[in-house]
Amino acid sequence: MLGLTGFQVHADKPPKGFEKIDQEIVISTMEAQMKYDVRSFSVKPNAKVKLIFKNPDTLPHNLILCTPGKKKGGDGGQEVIDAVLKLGDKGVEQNWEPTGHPRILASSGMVQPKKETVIYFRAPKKEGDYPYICTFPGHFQLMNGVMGVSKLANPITNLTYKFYHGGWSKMPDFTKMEPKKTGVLASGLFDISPRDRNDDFGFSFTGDIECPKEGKYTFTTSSDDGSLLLVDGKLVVNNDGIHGVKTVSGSVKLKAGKHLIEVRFFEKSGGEELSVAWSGPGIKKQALSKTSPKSGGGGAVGMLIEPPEGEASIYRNFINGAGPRAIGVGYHEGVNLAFDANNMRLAMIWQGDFIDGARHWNGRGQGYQPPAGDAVVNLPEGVAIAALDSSDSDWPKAEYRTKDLRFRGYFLDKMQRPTFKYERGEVSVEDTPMPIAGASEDAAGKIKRIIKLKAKDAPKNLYFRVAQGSFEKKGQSFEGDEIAISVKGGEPVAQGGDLRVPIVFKGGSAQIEVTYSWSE
Amino acid sequence: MKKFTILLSSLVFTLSVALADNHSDKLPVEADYYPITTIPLPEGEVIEVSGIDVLPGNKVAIASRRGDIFVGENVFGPEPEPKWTLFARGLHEVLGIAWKDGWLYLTQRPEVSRIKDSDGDGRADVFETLGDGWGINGDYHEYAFGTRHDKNGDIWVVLCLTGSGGADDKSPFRGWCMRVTPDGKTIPTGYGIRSPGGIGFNHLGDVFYCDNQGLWNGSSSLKHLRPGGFQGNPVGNKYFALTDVLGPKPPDPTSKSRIEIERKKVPDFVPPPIVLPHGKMGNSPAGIECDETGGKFGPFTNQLFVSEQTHSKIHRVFLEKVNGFYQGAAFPFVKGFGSGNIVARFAADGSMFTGGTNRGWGSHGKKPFSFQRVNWTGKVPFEVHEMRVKPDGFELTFTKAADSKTLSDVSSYAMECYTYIYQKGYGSPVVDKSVPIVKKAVPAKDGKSVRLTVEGMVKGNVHELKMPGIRLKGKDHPLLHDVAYYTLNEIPQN
Repeated sequence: MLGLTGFQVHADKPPKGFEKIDQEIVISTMEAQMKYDVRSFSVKPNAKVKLIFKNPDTLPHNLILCTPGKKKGGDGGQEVIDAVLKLGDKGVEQNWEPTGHPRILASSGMVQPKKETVIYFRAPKKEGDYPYICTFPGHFQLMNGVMGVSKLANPITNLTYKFYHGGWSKMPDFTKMEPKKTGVLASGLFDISPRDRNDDFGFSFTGDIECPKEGKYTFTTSSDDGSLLLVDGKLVVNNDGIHGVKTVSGSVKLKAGKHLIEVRFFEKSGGEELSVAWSGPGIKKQALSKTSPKSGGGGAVGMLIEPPEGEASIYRNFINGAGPRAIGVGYHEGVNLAFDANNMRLAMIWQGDFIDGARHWNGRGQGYQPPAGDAVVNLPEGVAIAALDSSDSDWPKAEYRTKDLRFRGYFLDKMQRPTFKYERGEVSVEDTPMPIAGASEDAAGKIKRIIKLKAKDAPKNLYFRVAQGSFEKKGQSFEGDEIAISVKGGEPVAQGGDLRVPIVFKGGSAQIEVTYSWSE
Repeated sequence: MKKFTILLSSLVFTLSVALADNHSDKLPVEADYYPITTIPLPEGEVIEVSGIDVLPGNKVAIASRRGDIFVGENVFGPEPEPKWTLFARGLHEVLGIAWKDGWLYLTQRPEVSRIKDSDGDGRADVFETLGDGWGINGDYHEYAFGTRHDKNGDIWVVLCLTGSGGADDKSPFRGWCMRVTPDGKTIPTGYGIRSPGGIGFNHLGDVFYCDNQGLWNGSSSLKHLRPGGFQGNPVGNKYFALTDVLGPKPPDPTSKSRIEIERKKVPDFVPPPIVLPHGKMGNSPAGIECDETGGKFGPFTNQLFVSEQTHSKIHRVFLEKVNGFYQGAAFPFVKGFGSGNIVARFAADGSMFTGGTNRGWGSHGKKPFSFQRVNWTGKVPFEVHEMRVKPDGFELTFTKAADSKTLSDVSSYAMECYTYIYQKGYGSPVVDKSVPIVKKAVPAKDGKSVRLTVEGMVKGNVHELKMPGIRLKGKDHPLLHDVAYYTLNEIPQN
């Protein structure tokens, strides 16, 4: 029976050999909807599986797990259904089950309303999609699902995709579009291979991910071009925009149990790639796609740079997300940042570990190293200070390296914390980020930044861009998806996806104070 | 007959004494003159030494590839037990440091900066960016090597091509030499660079750098950064579009040619003063340091010392100016350093500090990094001191009087002549081999020089001179290093 070696209905105790199982899955019927609540799940080849089948519905249902069959792309168990129809009058007697049919792997038997049953089986050795159906006449069209057998089986169930055509430069709103194709990814792996073209396309994926314990979970996407990852509707990873393979991580606190996971992806032109992974309490980094995310094009590990007690550490190097002239600063308070001296901007802030030196301190040290920590927030590319005709003018396009501003270095305080210095013509700037430790060990810290500007002849039309994205004003704070920002020393204007502050000089100087907090 | 026997036996006796004498008198080795002392580094730190300068108060500052600066005291003496202080950390691959007026100037990958300890706690707290008028693009090859200050206070920087062969729009001036002035200007000064390994001055303040074998560079060479000069690799010439300081873009050279031919077509071409034959002299020349210790390092005043990374050696270079161009000879000097030599720096007492790493590129010295010192013992080694070209041959001078008979014997010498293909592709085999003949060797009376008349010299080629027959006056000692490599770009008229 095709790898099915153990199988028991109504087992109070597990059968011999199944005292210890590899995976437990609970599938329930949905009341008055003629559906299983789990439409897909994945198991590893040869795994010992305990399947609890619950039937809270008012009708009897069964769950028959079938082999994929010979038809290309699968038949959803149609051959078994055909056999049920052939039973004719014997159907009722046999509980609508063609006992002994070669395609049946396992069966729950007919479960009466408000009852449940437990079956044990060993998963097939062969990877593939194994359909399961209710064979009660007329049910199977709606009451079906797929068990994915995959070496990369993961805790995502009900993973489906919608595939779209279109050319975008940032993530579009897929909900307003008609998908070209939809499907189930029973393996639980985010996968962009069900596509019919290699440029100008997008995917939106939704599924349920089972968190074994309450705690902080970190999700990572590595994509070319953009990707977003949301959990329970909240943005956790923002890897949007057109770029080569770029890796971004984000963290979220989750309760034990199932959570809605969504990944959105688009590809404009050139190479296309999507890898997803997660880690959390008791889970080492696990790929949720066939390929593992490249940590910033190969985030090397093993030489973590840790700020000494009471001090900040500086790391000037090629930092992924902050450019070739990056200056990373790790504060022992548990927050970190990277300044981009090509564009005089705060490029990134993140929590936890600072950065690993292993990429640049081994071998020849090629390429860009990403932050080691999590909750990475990417701040706008391009210059942070610009002259605008009016507050609603377009912000200047981001360049690889600005010619408008000039880097002048930094000085350190007693705790080795830098104040960056730069100039824009006659305007000189001192930019001092300061860490604010979280209220408790678990609480996220903040970064407060004081920007002092001096000029003899103060220009009137200078603006400082604080952040990009949509922000909602709540009291004194601007709340975004990833961060909340509060500003002193100027009135922020939310304009064209920017949060910008007019720089007002008084007596030749101006000061802006910005506090970045991670959104709860 | 009896008488004869006595005579014979006394002759045998004399001979055997002479032989025994020769036997016990072992041939000198480099360490008899220039021993290497290893200087302990702070425990637990990885200091891949990439920059050295001497600070007031007999202190030394060393920079590392990881971007740290340490300051050491008690680094002199036969068994140094230094005290190290962390001066700065987290800099971007520092390849050149220079102390001036209370500031330590650094050439980092993206910029020339100067740093200072303003509050006297021993750690730098001010980091000023002086000049950063070039591009980088995340490629490890985009190295920037910087000098100390020239007489105008400028720091000269040589910029490796992206990937050692490319010139990206995002990385302006790769393959160029830039000068950073005291007031923070970055001035394009020369072009045609491939992959530098180090940079330094001669005693006149002229600037030289080493370029590694590769594209448009048949063999590694020591090159003269004459302002406005072209060093041979045209990949970076596209950046003429960004500056008019050096005039219009020159014509590109033709591949699969010879430097001797192409330099006639490209007016600013500066032929390499010293070709360091690849594999023979080394594989990866790096820093350049001039002996201006006034004799405290021995007899080689004003000569250049070139660090060699792969072979863990220091070469010695003598330069002369012929028809307005620098050229000269390279000699082996000291081998057996701990790691791959990157940089050397003389202290006022005549100590030569050396430092290196073997990360990313292997070296004969197997230590991952090292900081060492070479001192002169005061004993003069028997070496060729200078090698000068003459219209019909060469003149050699020696550090000590040589045996005139061996000097005047033409069979004491063997010369080979060759060059490399000047081409777009990587490196080159040795080509155009010939054997010039030493026709005549006329020693000076004091045995301290010899004039060689050579038939078959080839303009543009390396002249490898072996001198296995030369002996020290009064002793059966050969030269400590009996080979010289003279690059003959120019031949004097008379």
